[in-house]
Amino acid sequence: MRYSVKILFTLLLATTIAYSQVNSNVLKRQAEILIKEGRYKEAIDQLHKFIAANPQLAEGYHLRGLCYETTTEYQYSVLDLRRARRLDPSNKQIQIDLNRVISTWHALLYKKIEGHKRDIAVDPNYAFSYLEIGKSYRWLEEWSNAELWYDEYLKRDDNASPDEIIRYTEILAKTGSIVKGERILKKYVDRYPDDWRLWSRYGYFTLWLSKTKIAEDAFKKALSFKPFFKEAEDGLDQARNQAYLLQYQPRAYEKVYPIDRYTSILQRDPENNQIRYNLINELIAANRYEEAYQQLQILQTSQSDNDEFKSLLKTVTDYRDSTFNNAVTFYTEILKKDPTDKQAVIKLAEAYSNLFYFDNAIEILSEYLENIPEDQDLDARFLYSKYCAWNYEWERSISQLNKLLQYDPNNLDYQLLRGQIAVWTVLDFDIAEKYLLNVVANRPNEIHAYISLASMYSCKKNFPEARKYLDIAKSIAPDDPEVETAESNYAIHLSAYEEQLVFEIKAEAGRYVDDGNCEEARKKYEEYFSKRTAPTRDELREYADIVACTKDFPKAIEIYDKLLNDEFDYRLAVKRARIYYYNKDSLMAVSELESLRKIKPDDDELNLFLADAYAVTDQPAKAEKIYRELISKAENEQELKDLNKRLVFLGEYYIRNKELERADELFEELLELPDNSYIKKDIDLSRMYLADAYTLEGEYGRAEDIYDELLESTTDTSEVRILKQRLSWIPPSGFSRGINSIGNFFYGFIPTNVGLSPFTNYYADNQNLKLWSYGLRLDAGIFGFLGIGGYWGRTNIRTDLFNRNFTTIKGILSIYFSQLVSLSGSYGVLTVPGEPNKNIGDITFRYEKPESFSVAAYYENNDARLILYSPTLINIRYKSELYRLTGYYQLKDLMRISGFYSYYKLSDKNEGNDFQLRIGKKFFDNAYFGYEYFFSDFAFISTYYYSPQDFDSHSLWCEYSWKYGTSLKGNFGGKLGYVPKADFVISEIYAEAVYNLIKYLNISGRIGFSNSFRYDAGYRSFSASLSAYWSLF
Amino acid sequence: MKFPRIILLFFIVLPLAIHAKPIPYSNNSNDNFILSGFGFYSGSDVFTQSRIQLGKFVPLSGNTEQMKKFFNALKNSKEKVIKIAHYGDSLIQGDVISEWLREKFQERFGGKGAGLLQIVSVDIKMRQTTKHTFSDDWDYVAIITRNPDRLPFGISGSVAVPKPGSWVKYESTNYLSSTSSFRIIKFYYSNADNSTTFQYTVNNKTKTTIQLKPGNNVQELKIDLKDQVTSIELKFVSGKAPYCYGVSLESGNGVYLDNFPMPGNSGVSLADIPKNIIKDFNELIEYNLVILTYGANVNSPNKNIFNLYENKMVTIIEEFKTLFPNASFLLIGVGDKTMKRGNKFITNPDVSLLLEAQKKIIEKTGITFWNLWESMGGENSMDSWVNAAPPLALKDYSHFTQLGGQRVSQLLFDSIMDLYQKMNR
Repeated sequence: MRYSVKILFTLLLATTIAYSQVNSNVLKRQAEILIKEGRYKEAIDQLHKFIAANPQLAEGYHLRGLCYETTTEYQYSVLDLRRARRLDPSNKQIQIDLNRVISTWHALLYKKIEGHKRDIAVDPNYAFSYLEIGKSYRWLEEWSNAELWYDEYLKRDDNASPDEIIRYTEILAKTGSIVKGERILKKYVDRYPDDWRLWSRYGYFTLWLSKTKIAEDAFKKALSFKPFFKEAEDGLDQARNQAYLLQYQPRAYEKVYPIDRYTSILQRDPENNQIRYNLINELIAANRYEEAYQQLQILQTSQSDNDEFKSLLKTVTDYRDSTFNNAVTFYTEILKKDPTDKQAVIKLAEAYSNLFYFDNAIEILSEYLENIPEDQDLDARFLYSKYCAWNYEWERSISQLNKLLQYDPNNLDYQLLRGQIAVWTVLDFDIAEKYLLNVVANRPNEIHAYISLASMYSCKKNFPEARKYLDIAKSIAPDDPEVETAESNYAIHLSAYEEQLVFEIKAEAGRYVDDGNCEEARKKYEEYFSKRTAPTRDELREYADIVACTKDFPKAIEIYDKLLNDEFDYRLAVKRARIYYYNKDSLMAVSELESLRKIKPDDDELNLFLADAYAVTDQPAKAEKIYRELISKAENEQELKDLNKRLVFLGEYYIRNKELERADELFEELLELPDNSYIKKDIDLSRMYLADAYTLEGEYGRAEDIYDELLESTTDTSEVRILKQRLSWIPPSGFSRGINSIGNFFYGFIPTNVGLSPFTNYYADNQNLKLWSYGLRLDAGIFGFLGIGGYWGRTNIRTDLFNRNFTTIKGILSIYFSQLVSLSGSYGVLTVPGEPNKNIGDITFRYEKPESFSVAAYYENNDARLILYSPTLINIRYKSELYRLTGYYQLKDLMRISGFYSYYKLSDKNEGNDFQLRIGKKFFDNAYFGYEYFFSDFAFISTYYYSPQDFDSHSLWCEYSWKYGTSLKGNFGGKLGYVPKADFVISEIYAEAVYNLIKYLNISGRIGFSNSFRYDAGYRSFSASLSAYWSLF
Repeated sequence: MKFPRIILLFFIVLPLAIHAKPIPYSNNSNDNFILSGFGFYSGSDVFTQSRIQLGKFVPLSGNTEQMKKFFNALKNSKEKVIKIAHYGDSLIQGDVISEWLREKFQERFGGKGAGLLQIVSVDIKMRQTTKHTFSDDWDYVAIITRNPDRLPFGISGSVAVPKPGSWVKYESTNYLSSTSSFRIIKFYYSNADNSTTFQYTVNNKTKTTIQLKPGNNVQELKIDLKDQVTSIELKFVSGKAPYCYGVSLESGNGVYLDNFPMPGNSGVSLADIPKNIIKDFNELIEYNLVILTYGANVNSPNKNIFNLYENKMVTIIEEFKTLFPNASFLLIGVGDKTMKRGNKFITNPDVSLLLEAQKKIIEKTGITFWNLWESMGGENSMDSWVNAAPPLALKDYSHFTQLGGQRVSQLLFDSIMDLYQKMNR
C-alpha cells in the first residue's frame, strides 16, 4: 500500500513539473508571437507569467527587457536586462542589449536634465524641476548629483512626501551620507510619526552610525504600526545583534550586507582592525564615503603608517575633497549670480566645513548675515555660531548663540551648543548645566549632551553625576570614540581628585601650623607622607620645620642632616644651626654659624642667629658687636625693637659673665632711648639682677643706687616689697657703713617695711547660720628675710537660737628664703566666752611665681566651728586639724590648672577629705572657661556638721578678669555643675576687686553666692568680705 | 573614707609642665619655624638619594639654524637684556618648567628677576617664585576668560583695567636664587592720558607717585630702584584708567624669561593678541626667543582636527615670525598625554598624530623643535613620571609637579646648550 502511494506521488509530481514546463514554454512562445506582431504590452503580460514560473531563467527577463525598451520604459528594461545578465553572465547578447538600452536611456535622461535646467532658468523656484533632475541622476546612478538635486528640491518643497524621502534616503545610502540621512529622517519621522517605512529607514541609518539604542527604538516603532514589516524585523534583529543570513536572494533591506556584518563584529570586537579595513572597503564600494572616512578616523591613531590605511585614506579624502570641492564650485557659482541665496550660502559653508576650512565657512556666513536682521535666518546664524566654536572662536560663537537664544530660547540645538562651549572652555558651568539638562530631558538620546554633562560634572568633581551621564552615553553608543574619551577623562579627573584629597592633608597640616598646633600638623604631615611614593626635598624641609616646632629637635636635626648630606643648601644649613641652638647645643650652633658666615658674611639673618648663639655661650661682646651692626642697618621700627630687646637680654649675659659695668652701661644706654616703653619692664627686671650682682660683688653703693632708682619708678606693691627687701639685705656701705658699723646689730631690728591690714567677712546660709568676722593684722619686715606681725580677729557665729563670739589673738612669723619661697606661721589663743581658752596655730610653706604657678602646703589647728561653719556645731567644742595642699599652673597664658586637696581630722574621731581640680582654657582676652571636678568624703556622718559621703560634682566654670585704669582690677565668674549622686544642679557666682585708693593703700572686696546640695536638699550660701592693706613705710 | 580618683594625675602633670624661659626670638617672619609653601603643588628639587632619573637627552631638531639669532644674542648677555617669551598651556602654569629654565639661563648668562608678570593671574597659589597679590577690583580679561568687551590683550594674553585704589604687589621669594630679588621694574600699559596717576611702594616703605605717559600705543615705565629689593606695589591713584599689561622684574643685563601660561589652550588663541600690541611690545622689549609649549589641549574625535591645528599654528607662527623679527622660535612638542584604557593609563593614541602635526608645523614654518614626548621616555612614560618617588607628575596624568618641571627644564636646557655649544665651536 505504502509503495503504491509513493509511486502515485512520484507520478503526480512528474506530471506537474512536466505540465508546468509545457505551460511555461507555451507562455514564452505566445510572448514571442506577440512580440513579432508588435504587441509588446501583451507580450510583457505573458512574460510576467513566464518569469513567475521560471525565475531562474535569464531568457524571460531578457525578452521582457527588450519589450520594455520598445515601450521606452527604460528603467524597467535596464532592470530586467541586468537580472538577465546576472542569471546568464556568459550571454554576450544580453550585455550588448543592456549597453544599448543604457546608452539610449541615459542620453534621454541627460536631455531631460537639460530640459529641466532650462525650466529652472525660467523659474528657479519651481521645485518639481529639481526633483525631476534628481530622479534622472538617480536613474543615471550618479548618486552625488542625485543627492545635490534632491537637496535643492527639498529646499524648495518642504512638503516632500514620505515616498520621496524614502527614495532620497536610498540615494543617501548610496552616497554614504548616513549622518545627513539620519538628520533628514529624524525630521520626517517627527513630521510623519505614523509612517512605519520612515521609522524603519531611520532605524537603519542610526544603526549604521552605531547608535544601536536609537535604532532599536526606531525599529520597534515601525513594528508597532506594522507588526510583521520584514525590513524592520530584520533591522531590529541586527540592532539586537541577532542578525542572520538569508539563504535566498534577499531584497533591499532584507539582506544582511557585509557592511552590517562587519559593523556587528566591530561592536563586539572594536580592536579588530582587519574587520574595520574590510568594512571600509565595503563602505567605499557602496559609495558610503562619509562612513568610510569616520572608520578611517578610528584607525588613524594606530594605523597611520600602514600602507593600506594610507591608500584608503587617500581614496576617501580624494573623494571627499572632490565632492566637497565640487560642491564649493557649484554653490560659489550660484552665489555669484545671487549672493542672497541663503540655501547656497549654507551649502557652501557646509562644504567648506567638511573640508575643515572653517575660516571660509565663517566668512561666507558672516558676509551673508551682515545684511540680515538679527531675528531672521536663525538657521544660518546657528551654523555660523557652530563653525566659530569649531574654529576655537568662542567669543564670536557665544555672542551669536546668545542672540539666537534670545529669539528662540527653547531651541535645543542652540542650548546644546551653548552648553558644550561652556564645558569645552570650562567657563559658565551654570549655563552648561541648565541647558544640557534641558536638552537631555527633551532629547533622551542626545549623546553629545550626555558626554558634555559627564565632562562638566567631572570638572566639578561631582563624580556620581558624571558617572551617571557617562553610563547613559555608553548605553546609547557604547563604541562611540567620544564616549571612550569621555570615560578616560572621567578616570583622569577622578585620579586627580583623589590626589588632591591627599594634598589636602598637607594643606591641613599647614593650617595647623598657622594655628600654632605643631603636634597635629606633624601627625597630618606623616599621614600625608604615608600616601605618597616619597617626599620631595621641599616636603622634607617643611616636615623638619614642623618637627622642630614640636620641639623634637634631635629628629629635626636628623632630617636636616639627611637633606644636607644629599645636597648642601646654605639656607638649610642655617636652619640646622638654629635648631642646634634651640637644642641647647650652643657651641655646635656657634661653630656651624661661624662656618656659614664665611660663605655669606652679609647675611643679616645668619648674623642675628650667630649673635644669639654668642650671647648664650658667654661671648656677649661678640654678640653685641653684631647686634649693633644690625641695628645700624635696621630697615623698620619692628626690627629695631627686636634688636633692642636682644640687647636687654644681652645685658643679663654680661651680668652672668660678671661684666657688670658693661651691663650697667648698656642698660643706661637703653634707658635713654626715646620711647623705650616696650623694653622698660625688661630693663627694670634686668637691672634688679644687676643690682643683686653688685650686692654679691660687694659693690653695695651701686646696688643701692639701682634699687632706689627702681623703687622710684615702680608703684607695684609686690615689687616695692621685693625691692625694699633687697635694700634691707644690703649692708651699709660708705658713710652709712661707718655710722652703722657700731650699731649694726640694732640696725637689723629696724623694720624695712610695715603693713596694716584690717578685714571683715560675712557668711550666711539657708540653714540658719550667720557668721561675721572682723579684725586687724600688722606685718613688719626685719633683717630683709624675716617678717613678724600680729593678728587680732573676732568672729561672731549665730543661729536663731544661739550666738557665739570667738576672739583670736596670734603672733605671726614669716621667713622669706627667696623671692619665690617662703615659710610662715602663726600661734596664739582663741577665746570663747564661757569656754576655756584654746591654743591655735597654723603654718604655711609656699613656692610661688606670681601669675605663673604656685604650690603651697598648709596646716591649721583651730576650733572646728571656725572651719566647718555648721549651725548645729555652734555649742560643740571640737578640735580640728586641717592639712591642705593647693596649687595652680598657668600654661603660656592660654591654659590654667588649679586645685586643692584638704584633709580634716576632728576630735570626734571623724576624718574627711576634699579635692578640687580645675582645668581651664583662655577662649577670649581675659576670659577662661573650664571644667571643675569636686570630691568630698568623710569617714562617717556626723549630726553636728556637714560630713558628706562620696560626694562628687562636675561643673563648668568661667572667670573673667578686668582692669579699670591702673588702680582698679577684678574678677568675676561662676560655675554650673551637676551632682550625679543626687541628680542635682549646683551653681556659684562671685565677683572680687582690688582698688588702689592711694599709694601704698589697696582695698580688696569679694562677694559670692553659691547653690549646692546638703542633707538631701539645696544648700545656698552668701559670702562677702572686705579688707585693706596699707603699707605704712 | 575614700580618696578622689584622679588625684594622682594632678600632681604628676603640674611639675612636668614647668619649663625654663627660652631666649626670645624676633618676630621676623623669616624666623618662624615654618616657611610658607603649603600650596597644591609640592616639591622644588629632587631628593636625590639613589633615585631613578627619568627622562633622557633629546637634541633639538627641525631648523636649528634659526636658533643662531638667539645664540648670538646670548653671547652679548653681559651687555644687554636677552628676553625669552615662554608661551604655553597649563603645563607651564605656576611658572612650572619656566622657573627652572630661567634659573639655569640666569645662572649661566646673568640676570636676576622673574621677568614679565601679569597684573592679575589665576595661578598665584601655584607660583612659588613670586608672591603675587592684587586687589579684587581690577577688570581683568584674558585669552582664558570671556572677553565680552573685546579689550585688547597684552603680550601675555591678558589685560587688566584698574579702578581708583586698585593695586598689585609682587614680592620675590627665596625659592630660587634667580628670583629672590630685583632692581628694575618695567611697567607696560596703554591708553593712559596726562591725568593717569600711579603710586609705587618699594619694600613696603618708600612711596612714590608718578604720572603715566599718554598714548594709545603700549608704553613702558622703567624704574631703576638702584638697590636690589624684594617687593614692589603699584597702585592706581586717579585719572584715566589705562590698560595694564604687566610688570617685568629685572636687574639689568642678562636673560629674562617671561612665563605666559594659557591653561586649556591649544595655542591657536595666540591669534587673539592684537598684532599692533605685539609689535609695540617687541619694539620696547625685543624678544630673542619665543618658546611655544602647546598641544595637550588639541583633542577631537575627528582626527582632521590635527590638520586644522597644523594650519592654524602655521599661520600664527608665520605671523609671530614677522612680529618678532629678531627672535628664534622653539616649539616644544606635546608630552606623554595619556588616556585610561581598562585599568591602565596609556599614551593617548592622539599623541602620535599630534606629534606628526607638530613636525609638519616645524617643516612648514622652519622653526626648531624639541620632542618632549621622546625626552620623557616615549610610550607610556607618563605613568612612570606619576609614580616616581617622589612624583614628577600629578595624578591627572597631564601636568608635572614642580619637581617634574625642574627635570623637564633641565633636559630642555641641556638640549639648547648642546646646540649652542655645537654652533659656537
